[in-house]
Amino acid sequence: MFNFEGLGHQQLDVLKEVGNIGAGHAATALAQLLRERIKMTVPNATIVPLAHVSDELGGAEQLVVCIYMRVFGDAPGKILFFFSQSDALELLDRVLERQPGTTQSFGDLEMSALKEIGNIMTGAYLYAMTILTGFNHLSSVPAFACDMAGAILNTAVLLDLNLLENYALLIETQFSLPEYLLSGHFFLVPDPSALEKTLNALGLKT
Amino acid sequence: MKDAIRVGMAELKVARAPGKVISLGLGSCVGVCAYDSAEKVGGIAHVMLPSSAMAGEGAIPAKFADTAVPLLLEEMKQLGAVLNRITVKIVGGAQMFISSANNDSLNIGAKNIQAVEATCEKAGVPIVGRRVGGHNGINVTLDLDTGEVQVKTMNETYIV
Repeated sequence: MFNFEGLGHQQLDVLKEVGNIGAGHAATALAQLLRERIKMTVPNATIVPLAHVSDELGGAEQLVVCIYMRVFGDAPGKILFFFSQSDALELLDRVLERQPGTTQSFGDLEMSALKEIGNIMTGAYLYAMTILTGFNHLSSVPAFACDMAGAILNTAVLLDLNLLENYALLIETQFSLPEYLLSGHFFLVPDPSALEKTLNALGLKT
Repeated sequence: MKDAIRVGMAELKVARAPGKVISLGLGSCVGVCAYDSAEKVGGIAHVMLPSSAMAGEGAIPAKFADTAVPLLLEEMKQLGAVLNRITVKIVGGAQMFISSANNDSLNIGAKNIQAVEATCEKAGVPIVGRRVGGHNGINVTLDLDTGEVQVKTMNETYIV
């Protein structure tokens, strides 16, 4: 049985590169949508014990907005976007072409707009994955949550979880819009079965 | 005051008064807070999933309702708690994500609550307080001196 504890440096590096290419496409999609320059960090690939997942966004009690999508197909997993609550409101002002400071809460329209941003970015991400690996990917309808980071991360990790896993593999990229001092986090959380396939498809033995 | 004891996801911890046991970031997870008021021994299990039936070997017992509750009670007994004095309060089990697809897999919280209730009944420990369901994540604190359970959402604080 393949498990996360067995992953070596080289394999993690390859997964980071996968994350880099996918997130690069996703960030480009957001840049085109907003007609803004977007900066991205080099991704992190970390294997986290379940007990520590809630701290991964810099504090379990931070208020954040999350868009969650399940990825189906040859290499299943989850995709998560996080924005701080204030950054999400600012992003909505931009996308909905409102005066800065107008959007104050997350109503149906606002949730829908954020989900659509998640959709567009995920589409770009999965397209890059498909080119890279030749796999088919499909994403679920996006789901929205606005709450404390710890509760959201814990829940997102356990949804559709492989029961055997005692660790979660998180491939994280941060992106920012420098002109608006906005930033967000992008997480790819591959299922264990997807990892093995992905690494094999990229020529690494597992 | 000594630092509170932290319980991460899929963990359980027990202790004797004085002090507090806390667990952060319960979304669809359920916090099982057990307490023996005579011995002032208590603990929290941060349960992720309903059943260990499919999990096989190598699974962490505290992850699943059906294995976490018996282990929590057992560890409390080792600290001097007596089974027929132990009472339980349950918190969490929210549905965090809202989706236009009517997707049952997003609502693992309700299944976790049911499984914890069934396991407590089987173990013969009464559930004396609850604050479960809803759409909000919580942080939970068990006060080992009083057995009081404090539940904090992002906007409000409740005592269970």
